[in-house]
Amino acid sequence: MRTVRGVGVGFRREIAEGLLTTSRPVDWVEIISENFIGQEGRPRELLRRCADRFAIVPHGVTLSPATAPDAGYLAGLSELAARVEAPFVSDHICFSRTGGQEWFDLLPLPFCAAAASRVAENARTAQAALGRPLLLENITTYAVMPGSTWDETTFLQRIIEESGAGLLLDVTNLYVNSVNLAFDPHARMEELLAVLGPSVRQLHLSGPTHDGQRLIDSHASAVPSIVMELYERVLRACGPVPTLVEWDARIPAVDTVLDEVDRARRVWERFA
Amino acid sequence: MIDAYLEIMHGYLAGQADERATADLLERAGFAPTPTATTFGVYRELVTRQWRAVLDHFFRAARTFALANAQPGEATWEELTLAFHRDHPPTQGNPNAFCLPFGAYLEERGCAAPMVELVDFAITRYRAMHAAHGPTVVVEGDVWPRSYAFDVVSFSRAAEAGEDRCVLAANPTTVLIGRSRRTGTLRVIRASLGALVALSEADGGGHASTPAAELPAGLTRALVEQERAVLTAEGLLP
Repeated sequence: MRTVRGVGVGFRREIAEGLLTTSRPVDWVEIISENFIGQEGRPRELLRRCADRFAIVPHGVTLSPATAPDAGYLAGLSELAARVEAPFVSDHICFSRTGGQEWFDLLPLPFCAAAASRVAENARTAQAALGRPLLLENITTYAVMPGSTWDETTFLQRIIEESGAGLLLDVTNLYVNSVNLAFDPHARMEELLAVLGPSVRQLHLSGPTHDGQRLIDSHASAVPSIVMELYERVLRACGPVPTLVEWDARIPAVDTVLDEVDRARRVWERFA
Repeated sequence: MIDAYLEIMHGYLAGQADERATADLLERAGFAPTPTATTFGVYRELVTRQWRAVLDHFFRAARTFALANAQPGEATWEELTLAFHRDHPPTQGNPNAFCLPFGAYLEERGCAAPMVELVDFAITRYRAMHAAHGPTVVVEGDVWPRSYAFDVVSFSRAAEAGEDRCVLAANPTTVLIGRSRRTGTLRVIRASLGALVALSEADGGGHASTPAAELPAGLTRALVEQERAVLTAEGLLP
């Protein structure tokens, strides 16, 4: 297993060559699992070059832990994780597949015991199949779904406790939710850290965009300063947790992306 | 209980029930409304935006052509893709897998040749970039010969560079599409008859030399060997 430490960046096709050839520091990278599972040709070649240079964490978007586990997907993910010697893999607390159909989006569950138990059960199944730790990420929710009887923190806490998975805390997602659902992000972060701080294994930072009606988790801009404030608060509570900067849309030149990585690293290093 | 939630949400996301009806179904299944300031109506819009983005990105040139050449009475790009999504809903996590049946779908519907060719060119390039290289070349396994009635190569290049006013010229062209064994990059090269013969001879690891008397008219052994050298230099042959 390789060690993940410091501040990494999402390995995306648009900046792949730049990352593989830059002389600037990149502590580790995250790949989108689905882009590499079972792939030959250029993706496999890129992955080989990437693994030669960086520690890699596969980050999935279709585990869909609220729906029945897909044995084929888990087998492919297991092979991928083994190939890159990933210390852990990660995905989201959501559903993205129903009735065998993929929706290509991270869709929200009701914050309730039934949903938490289902996610926890499937996360345990996934961890057993993968033979390595699984981290689960909080998503953006543009509505509190019908059937929610808990707040999100309680929902996350129950899933993490029942599943044994670690928490991949997406700081930007918490902030986006605070804007769209009108709550205080600082107070929510304190509440979350009080119960889930010891379970935080990785952090995500990214920049959202406003579509005129709501703040969208687009990963299409620099990290807002309020998110950096929240990030600092998390590091103060949890220590130097591995952090990843995501930039997935309107991706600028690799140096601009790495400027964001450096910006996060300057904060991270204060707690290292 | 959560299965009922997922089933009801499936109907909503698939467009079988509107938000109001979905909320009623959820409430009857035990998922009571919450006092949220926003509704979940945005999610159908978001998932539609996602699968449309997948197709629009994969078939950027075909979309550009369709938007610029919409004819009264013919299905628009939006209608074609909506019908495709309905008839071939994505079932794999890799979004590109969702795109691959689109070419056959357009042919089944009897779509016009320019669209079919542009879509085929996009799919073939994808296959070329994702094919494993074995020790020998395999036609349709790592090199794809294609004859197009239109200059889809130039059009795709222009459209994918963001040109909105590009013209798809009728210009019969035969190309070889593959990923270079030397550089790993996509190669799309115009294929002469000699190149096709050289590829055919190398297919599956063959070393056959077509007897001179059996070569197509105007082609000599020396020309075939010359083309073989070009294909090797391009990385399309081992």
